[in-house]
Amino acid sequence: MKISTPQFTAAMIRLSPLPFVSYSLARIVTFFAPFGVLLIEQEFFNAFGIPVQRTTVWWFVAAYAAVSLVRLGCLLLECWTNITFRYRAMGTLQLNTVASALDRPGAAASPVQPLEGLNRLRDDAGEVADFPLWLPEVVGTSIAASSAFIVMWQVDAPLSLLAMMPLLLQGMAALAFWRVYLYYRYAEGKLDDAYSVLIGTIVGKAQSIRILALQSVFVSKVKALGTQRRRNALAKTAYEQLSTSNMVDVSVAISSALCLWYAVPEVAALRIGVGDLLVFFSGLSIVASLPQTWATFIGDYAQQRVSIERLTDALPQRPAALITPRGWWLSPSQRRAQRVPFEPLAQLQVRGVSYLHADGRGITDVSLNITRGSFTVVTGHIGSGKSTLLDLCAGLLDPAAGDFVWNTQRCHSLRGAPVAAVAQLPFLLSASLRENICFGSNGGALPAVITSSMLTEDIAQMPAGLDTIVGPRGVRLSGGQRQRVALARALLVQSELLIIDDVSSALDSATEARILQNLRQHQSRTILASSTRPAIVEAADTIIVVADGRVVGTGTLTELLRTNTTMQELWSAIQRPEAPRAG
Amino acid sequence: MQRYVSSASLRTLLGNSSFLSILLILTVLAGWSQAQLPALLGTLIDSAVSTTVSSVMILWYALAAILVQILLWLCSLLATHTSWAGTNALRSALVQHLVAQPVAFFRSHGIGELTERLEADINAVSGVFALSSAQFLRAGVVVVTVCGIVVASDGGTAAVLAVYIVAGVLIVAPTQHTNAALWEDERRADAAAFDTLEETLAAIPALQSVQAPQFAYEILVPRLTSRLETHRRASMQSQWGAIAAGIVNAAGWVLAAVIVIWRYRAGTASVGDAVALLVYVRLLNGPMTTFGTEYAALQQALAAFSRCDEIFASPTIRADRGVRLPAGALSVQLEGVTFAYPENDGFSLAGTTLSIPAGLHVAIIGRTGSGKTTLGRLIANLEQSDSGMIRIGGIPLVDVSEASLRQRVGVITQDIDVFPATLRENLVAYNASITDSAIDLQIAALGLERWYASFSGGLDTILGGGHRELTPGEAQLVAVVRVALRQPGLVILDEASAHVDPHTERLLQQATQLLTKERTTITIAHRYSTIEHADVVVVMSSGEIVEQGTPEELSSAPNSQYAQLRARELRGVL
Repeated sequence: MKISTPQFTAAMIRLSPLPFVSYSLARIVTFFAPFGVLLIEQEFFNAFGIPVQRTTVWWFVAAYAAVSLVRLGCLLLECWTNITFRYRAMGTLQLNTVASALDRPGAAASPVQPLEGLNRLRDDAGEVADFPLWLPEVVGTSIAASSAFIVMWQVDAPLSLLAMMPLLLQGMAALAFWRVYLYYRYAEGKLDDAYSVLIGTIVGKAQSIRILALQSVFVSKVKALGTQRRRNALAKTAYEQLSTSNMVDVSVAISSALCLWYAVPEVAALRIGVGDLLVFFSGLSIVASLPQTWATFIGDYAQQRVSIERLTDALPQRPAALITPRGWWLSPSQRRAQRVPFEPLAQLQVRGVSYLHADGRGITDVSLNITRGSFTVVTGHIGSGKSTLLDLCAGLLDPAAGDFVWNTQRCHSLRGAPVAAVAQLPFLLSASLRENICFGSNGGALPAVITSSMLTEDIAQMPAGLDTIVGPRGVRLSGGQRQRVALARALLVQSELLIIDDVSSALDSATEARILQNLRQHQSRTILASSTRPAIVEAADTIIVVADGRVVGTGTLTELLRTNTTMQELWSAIQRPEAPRAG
Repeated sequence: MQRYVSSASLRTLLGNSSFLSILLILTVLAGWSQAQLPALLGTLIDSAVSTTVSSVMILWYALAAILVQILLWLCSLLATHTSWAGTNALRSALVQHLVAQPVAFFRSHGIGELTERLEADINAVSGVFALSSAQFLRAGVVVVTVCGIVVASDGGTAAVLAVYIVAGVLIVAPTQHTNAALWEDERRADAAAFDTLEETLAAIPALQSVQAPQFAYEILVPRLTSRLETHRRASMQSQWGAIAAGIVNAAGWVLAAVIVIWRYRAGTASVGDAVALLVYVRLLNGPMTTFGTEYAALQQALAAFSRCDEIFASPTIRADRGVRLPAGALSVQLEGVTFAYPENDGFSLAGTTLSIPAGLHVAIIGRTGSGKTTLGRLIANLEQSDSGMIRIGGIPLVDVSEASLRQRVGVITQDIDVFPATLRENLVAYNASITDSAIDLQIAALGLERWYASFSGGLDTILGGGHRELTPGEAQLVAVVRVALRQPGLVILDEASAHVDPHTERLLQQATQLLTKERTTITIAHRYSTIEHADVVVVMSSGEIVEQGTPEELSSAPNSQYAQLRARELRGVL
């Protein structure tokens, strides 16, 4: 499903119609102003040679001042409305991209590479938001140009046609040069993308670059790309200038010369006044800007399609969602997650669920039961599908086959179910510790969850306590602290099922044991965890052994150790991980 | 303006702007010839009125006009070239500076923010720098030439014109005074919005995990609002410059019209002179508007400069004194080393002293936040101590050349970065002098042949970016081979306890043992086996070393922290 450029543009105009209409009016007036000046100058210079009344002079001056004042007023209005329109549209596109990502299962592969997607969200969103503002430009120039031509025609029809000849040629040449220019502009977009990715790599992997002494490697990559970008920019500018200002001015000069050559006998015979001659000089400039504006518009129209496609790539299912009006600039957004009513959990059945990632990892035909108050641990080697199974139960993936039964209610996916999950790699925002735990909720139970997740001591050590800013991605915290923050966040949510993906991986075992103890204090809390740590596997009510994406055993540790070979193998591996000493 | 004189970015930019002088000469030429055209036109009109005009004269006029355009075209090409040459140098310099930052720098600057600075900020500079300066210069030349031409024809008019120009500049300039700060705010708000956008998109699974999608809007909307508002505020302020220029231009027209009428009546000017004067005033519109609008663009560029300077001002890790580390295993000594992160958020070292003889295996243990990771970073020179002395192989760390340090000291961090490149490039770390056979030998020596055989494309297998993705455990293996290929004398290993499956875990332990054999090794330990097989165990707590000794010594002291940690962790730690 695609969305056409006119549809898209119309939707963007509907986002903030008032700024758009005011901008358009102001812009058209601005384009019309030179035409007004032209009329005034025509009368003014035609008056030379005949006795001019003193009052007439002041009329000219007054008319000119009035035109100027209106134009200046429009300039202010233009600026305000232009920015308001563009930034509202840009913000809406960006918010909607986030919104659509929130509507997708978060653990599924994103349709667009993150860094590239980000670059698109800036450049293409800017490009797209700018486009509707070209419409008044085209309308304004066209009206001004036709009016100027009519005045020229009235002065001298053959001369006006003669003067148009160089302009026509110029218009054709401009379009040809514009094509070449577009090629370089497209190439520029590609190079900019490559540059973003490179800079993102350098900034994101700065520590490794230092450790491996790769500074010069990456600096020379930056330099090489810089040279490429410079060459491209040079070619782009050359053709851009040829198709716009320079050619326009050259053709105006040629046309002016033609006019002079034609007009000499007419002026001498007083059939054409000096003011009329000036009408030609000024009028030509106005008309000459027409092909350029149209060429830019046509080029931008093509570019617009590309940009819209690049933006909607990120939301292939519902591209129209990109332009959902939000009015975010009006008041704080009060959107709440639309919760499908889920009853308190008594039993969750997972029935024959499958999901495969693009690289072939995943799970096939997995079934299991989780009852209220139970502690279920999924275990298995890495790549066995533990995380995929947990992501499915957390509603972060939609199964390709199979379904869930929540008590008695059958559902295809658990998206939106009252489940709270702690990921293997916790994500922290560059905000305060408090915000990172609350994640927008009011945090009434904050003290309790801080205790449960063993953060009390850590917070006491921080000078700003809960208001400590944790830095980008929480870098100022240790791996274990980050995991405990993510746990606290999940505990704060009123959930029916708590899912923990290998959370203790960065915790020392004392902390791990205490947390486990805290979690199990509540009899009614239902927990589904994945782990290969003996302490956790031992504590489980039910263990689910996964291998190669399938469940190969379910039961208590004692049962499994007696009957299940995979479990026996795994258990000995995690109990005695010691490799034989080399040599 | 004062602060821009000492701007590091500006110096880098100007120092690398090739053809700047040619650009300036051409610009002067273009401005001068542009100013000649109206006079030529005036003469032509007078000749037309008196029917003495010849086709040749008209042809000359057209040619002159075309020549001016060619000059202007060349100017814009040169300006583009100069801008890019200069800003490319600035980009490289900034990147060079960034990769020399201590790790702490990246604790307070996000990827989105830095990317934005290195892109949007410098783009703001490149669009403006040479182009705007050239336009400014041309505007100046046009003004001076116009005055010169008018002086030649009529002194009185020239005087009025000069007063007009001075008054005009005096009216336009003050409207621009407060702008730099506003544009700086705008740049900052823009970078913040972009950073938050990047962060929000990355946070989506986390937001979904706790059913908090609305939080995305709560954090993003204020940033978008502030981006809109700061941009609008700055633009409106700058727009006053254009308005002032517009008023001055309109006044200029009126002035010229009055002069023209007056002189025409007095018989001191022809129609041609009148046209020429009005065209001149219109020609001055350009420079006036330039002062008004390009000045704003220049302000934006200056704001971007000062933001680049902020990065330059952030001190790099150290100056290199070029001393090479000796061959063989390296000893490590720390004497009273103190360190606190710039944010002073409680993670610090308080006067650590430690001596590790060459070839020894040391395990550092302690609870999270005890300072063990920081200690490793300080020895690896990823952070610099506030006071005290660190010696590696007997040489003060501050004297050791960066190249020698990275060659002789291997570091394996918790999270291993895999570069979007081939397996070979990842293993040799872009060092083309390491041959494939050397890599094969090293892989065999570490006992990783079977794992290596799983790469279908061999060393040419492309890693990451939708190609072969490595598990965190495999990334660790890559890091071990990477470090082993450099034959270091000291290995600093921040042991990753996370997300490694038992099979890879065994491979990793074996490879690590082979790597660290006969090499000084400092392990920030999470595994009990590592601790048990260490020669010396160092126990840290709250940024201090509280105990050290052999595992046997420490475990025999019943009240030691080590014994307590051990008793509690024995069962759980892998």
